[in-house]
Amino acid sequence: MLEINRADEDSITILTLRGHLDALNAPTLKREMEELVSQKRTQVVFDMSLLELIDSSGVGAIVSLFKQVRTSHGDVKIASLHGQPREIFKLLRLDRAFDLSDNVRVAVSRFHS
Amino acid sequence: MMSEEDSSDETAKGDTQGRKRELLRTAERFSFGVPARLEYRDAVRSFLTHICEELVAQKILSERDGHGVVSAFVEAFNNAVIHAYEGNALGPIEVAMSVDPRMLQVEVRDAGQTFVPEDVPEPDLDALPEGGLGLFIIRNFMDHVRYEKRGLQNVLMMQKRLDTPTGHEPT
Repeated sequence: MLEINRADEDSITILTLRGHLDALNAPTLKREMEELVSQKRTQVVFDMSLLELIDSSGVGAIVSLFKQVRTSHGDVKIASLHGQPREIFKLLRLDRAFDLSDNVRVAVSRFHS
Repeated sequence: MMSEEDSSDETAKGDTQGRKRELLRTAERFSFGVPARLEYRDAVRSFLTHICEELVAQKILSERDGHGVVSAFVEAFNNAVIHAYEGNALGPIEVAMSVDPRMLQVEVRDAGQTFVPEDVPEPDLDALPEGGLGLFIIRNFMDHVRYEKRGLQNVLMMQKRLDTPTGHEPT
């Protein structure tokens, strides 16, 4: 199960993911992300503090958004990565590609720095 | 076997470790059969997660490796549903797990289309691929992986070595 909570703070959108981001649920996130892109909201923070599991399909969805917003000079930042999702990010070297922060507030502040 | 009268602080500690090993003295096996639908994956994954957490608690599997084993299983199950059966629940998926003092083994078996693992290219991680990562995850998180045809079944066998509890050599 995946719950997605969206909060807009000025130009920054925070997506809090709760549960599992996997082959079953990745299409739900993709729909949410298509909406963001159509609204030209290209500064995105993923709050992963409640994310328990991610698989390669989930990773693919996040990377897809990352690539899209980068073409519009936006960015995707990742906050509170831990547990199994953290190990997947490390294995796939995504910890180097993404700007990782310990919490959402730090991630948001990095858009202003 | 040491009698209770011989018990001291040191032997009491040894007994605790011995009791833990008792759980794994012989291979314990678990098997599941589910329809090839992603919706059923988490029931089996929850059980594997429980096994891994127990092995982590016994300090014979690191937490990182526990996450790796679960990740590999998830990808293997996904591949069976999405690729072997092409998303149609045309047949069953069997999952067999065994754990002994040296090894945790997980097999994912399907009766769908066979693939050739050697034909799956290594992903270029620098290019940030959005797919084709499942087999890479499996190979890199597990110590030994083998894919073979057994009768009508495709079998993906994955093994993770377990650490030896401090002060106890495996018999």
